[in-house]
Order: sequence, then structure tokens, then C-alpha cells
Amino acid sequence: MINIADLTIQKAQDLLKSKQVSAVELAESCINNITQHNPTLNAVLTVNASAIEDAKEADSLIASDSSIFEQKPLLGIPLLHKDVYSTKDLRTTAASKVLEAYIPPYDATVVKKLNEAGVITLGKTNLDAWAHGSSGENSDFGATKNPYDLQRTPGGSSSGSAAALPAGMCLVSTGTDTGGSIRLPAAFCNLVGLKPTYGRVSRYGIIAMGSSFDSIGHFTKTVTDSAKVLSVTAGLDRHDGTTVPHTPPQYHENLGSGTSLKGKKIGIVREFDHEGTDRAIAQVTRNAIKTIESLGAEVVDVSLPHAQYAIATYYILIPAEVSSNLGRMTGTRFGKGYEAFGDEAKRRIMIGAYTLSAGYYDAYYNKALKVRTLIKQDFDTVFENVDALLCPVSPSTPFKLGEKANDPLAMYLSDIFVAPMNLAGVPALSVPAGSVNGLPVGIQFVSKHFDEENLYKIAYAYEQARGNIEGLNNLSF
Amino acid sequence: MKVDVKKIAKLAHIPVTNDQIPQLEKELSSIITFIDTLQQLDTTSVESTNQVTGLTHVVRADRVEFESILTPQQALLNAPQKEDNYFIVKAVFENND
Repeated sequence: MINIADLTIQKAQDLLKSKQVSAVELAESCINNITQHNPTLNAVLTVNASAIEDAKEADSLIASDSSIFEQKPLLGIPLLHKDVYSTKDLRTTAASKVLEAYIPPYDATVVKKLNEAGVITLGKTNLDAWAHGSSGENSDFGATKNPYDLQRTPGGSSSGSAAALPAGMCLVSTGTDTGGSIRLPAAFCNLVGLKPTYGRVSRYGIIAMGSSFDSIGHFTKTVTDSAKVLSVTAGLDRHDGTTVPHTPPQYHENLGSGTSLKGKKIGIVREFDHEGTDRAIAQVTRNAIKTIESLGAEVVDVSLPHAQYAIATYYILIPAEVSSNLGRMTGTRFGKGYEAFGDEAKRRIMIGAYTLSAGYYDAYYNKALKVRTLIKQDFDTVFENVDALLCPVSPSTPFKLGEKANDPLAMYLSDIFVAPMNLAGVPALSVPAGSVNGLPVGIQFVSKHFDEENLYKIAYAYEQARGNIEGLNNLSF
Repeated sequence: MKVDVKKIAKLAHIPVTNDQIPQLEKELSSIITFIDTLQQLDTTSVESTNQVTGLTHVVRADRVEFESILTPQQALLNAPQKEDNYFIVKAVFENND
């Protein structure tokens, strides 16, 4: 068995191309890890029974055509999808009892694109039901555990996708980031997590949470791997009217040499440096700032004066959109009805119904749409002067399961550093930056709309200079 | 601020039992008090943002796209109750004949 936990997509591709490893071996190793570790971690909800058959087909393609990787850039790469991605003929639950037995009759656009690029879909991962949450504990099928400490959360809502990678269950997993649901778990599980620009990647076929926010991204171990996947998933989709017409670049071919950030101006957000942040985490962020300075970047102080209103704005707009999107779960065309919703879905639907109701609509919903403008303008203003921002991802290390489970508001505030980007629609990339008490800590780079190429270049240079993350707990399952 | 849970539950079509009300009242009230902080901001001259990347009037050609249409069998695949090519739904009007 090959050691998947230490393998990257890049390395796996070298091994596949030189025929030192087969797609079947990769898939079998991952499935073996799922079988062994999932009873402890609860990261995977459904395993794709035809995965090994698909891997065999990939191997026969590799054997018969040496140029096949040009047409299928991710051929043979084992992948897990967050269980809000519609996968034709493969159960898709959104981790809710409502869709416990739902079998989609079509593939999401991203699923289709990744299939065409040759990935081997191994199955579907656990999440906070409907992607509502920051810890994975809102799953109707039980919480996922953090592989670095089983008492703690892997972060949410894309909890299973994040926990699966360090556990060697796949080489890439997909997620959705509506208010931090990729970046927070990436930081908690020592991973690279991309929240692309709103509209960069199609939302078609992905079970909606907040349709004006949902960003379709993924988890990998390295920046290069992340760029390789975005090169496949990005682009116009006529099934999603929010995708933009301009053709995306091949991100992974434009990472640069990774040795210099000369000429780049990086902003540090004044408002994110406050006493609510764990001191040791603030130190990790300061170390990352020193690293990018040593690479020649100019570091400047910037302000997002309305960022402090992001969570309040988010928790008006999101429940409003949730109450509308989940209104279709009537139990007529598929699934069960409203009575099967878990507590958090019920809370969000009710808050949405309240803020959209007659007499409150202007005070809450319309007000929040206006504050969203102010938050977006803050970002527009800073990006006139800087190429990117460097920010913390989470004010704390992965918290203990149960710690915030009975306090919805405390849970919402886990996202203070990640939700503002969703309100502005800008892209952000969470990158491992260090450890505190054996637990992973991340930072995020943020750039203006549709500037993922620049984001990847900066993050790649940082990653090369940073080196290995020291002091992490041994994986504990 | 204290919220009327029964009224909101009715608006949202969410079934709520009497013993769930105190907990929901506490949770929803704390969330609504929190989101009320936006009232501190003066937004009188601020426009709303509905689409964050600025796309407007996205349309497609007015023709049938057969590849994205489900067959009746596919559409009914997950229906809890069906008959022939129809979904069975709850009666809207009672038949008093």
C-alpha cells in the first residue's frame, strides 16, 4: 500500500506517468484508509462502489496512450466530494435526514468537469447539514473528528472533506465556502483551502445554501495541487448565470519561480489584530508576515472599517436565502418534508422568515444589503493600493467538540475573519502557517475579484519559504 | 429583544412543539439582538448589493436545451409517492362530493 497521507497530486502524477504506481493502487490505498479510519473519524458518508472499476479504466487509458494526461490532467487522482455536490446515481444527502435516500439524476457541472479530467470519485464526505455550521457538529449523521486531535473539530462546514486528506482517504476533496466553510477547516487540518471568486466556478448542481455567496472550491495539501484543480473547475457555465465569460488561465502553469515577492504590496488588516485572538495564533500570523517581508514584499497597514459588521450582515442575508432555498424541501419531488430538518436548519429558516416578514424587511434584509455594499467598498478601496491581504483564518485553534454546540451565536463568531470575504465575493486562499499546542494554524491570502492567479503566486512563494510545519501532533487515529 | 416563536414557526412552516419553544426563544432572541447591531450604521445614501461581481442581464438563447432536461422517469426517481408520470401531492381543496 502506498502512503497517501504524505502524497500530493503532483507527486502522484509523476508516479502514474512513470508507471511506478497505478490508479488502482492509489484508489485501493485510499479505500483501505477509509475502511480503517472512518469508524473513528466519520469523514465519509458514502463510498462509490464503482471506484475501483473506474481506476482500472484509467489504468488502461494510461497504458494505451502516453499523451493521455494532456487531455485528462487529473487522470487517476482519487477524490472525495462534499455531500452537497450532485453526483449522478451516487447518494447525495447534504448530511441531512431530509435527503437521506436522495439519488441525483444528474452531475453538478464541477463533478462533470472533474470526471472528464479523469479523477476517480471515491465517495462523499460528511458536513454540517446543508453546510450550516463551523464545526461539522450540525451533521445529522454525527460529527467528524479532527485527525490531529479526536476531541476537537476539524472545522466546518466542509468537515469530512478536510479530515479525509490528512487521513489518506483521497488526494483532493471538494468543498463549498459560503462564509468560511473551506478556509476554516483547511486551517484546522493543515491544508490549503481555496474559496474562489464568486462566479469563478459553477454552482450548478451543488445544493444551495446562500445563492449570492456560495463559492465552489477544494482542499489539497499544497498550493500547486490547489492550482491544478482550479485549472479544471474554473470557467463559464451556461447553467449558472453568475459564472463570468472570460476564460480562466491555467493557474498551475503560472505559479512563478516562488523565490521572490519583490514589487508585491501586501496589506495587513488593522481590525483583525484584536484582543479576541489567541496570542499564539497572532504570533503565527506575525511570523508569516516576516516571511513574506523576507521575500521582498512590501507590507502595509490597511483598514476594513466595516468588517466588524460582517457576521451580523451575514446572519441576516444567509438565513433569508436559506429560508428560500430550503423552501423546496417539501417532500413531494424528493426527500422528506420540513419535519425532518435538524435544529440549525430550523433556526436559519425561522430567522430568515422573521427578517423577511412584513414590517421587518426594510430594517433587516434591506439594511443588510446596504451594509454589504459598505463591506465590499472597503475591499475595493484596499485593493487599489495592495496586491493582496494576509489575514488570520481563525481566532482560535480547533475548538473542542461540544464547546460551542449549544451556543449558536458563539459558533457563528468562529467565522469573524472569513465571512467578510464572502460578503465582498473576493477570492481567498487558506494556507498552513504553523502550529500551536500541536494543532494546525493557517493564514489566508485575499485578493481582488478574479485574481486567483496572483493569489496562487503569492501563496506559492510563501509556501516555499515557509518550509515544513513543525510541532504538529502525530495523527491520532 | 424577545421573539414570538409560534408566529415565526407558522410563517416558516416549521413544526415546533411547545416544549421546544423556551430554548428556541432564547436562541432566536440572542441572534436577533446580535444582528440588530447593524442599526448603528447610517446607510441612507448607500445602494444595495444584490450581485457582487457586477454581472447584469445574463440571458441565454430562447431554445430548448434537451441535454439538460430530465426524462419523466429521472424526474420521478426520488418521488416518495407517484402514480404513472405524476407526483402525488397533498390535496389543496377537499372534495366534498
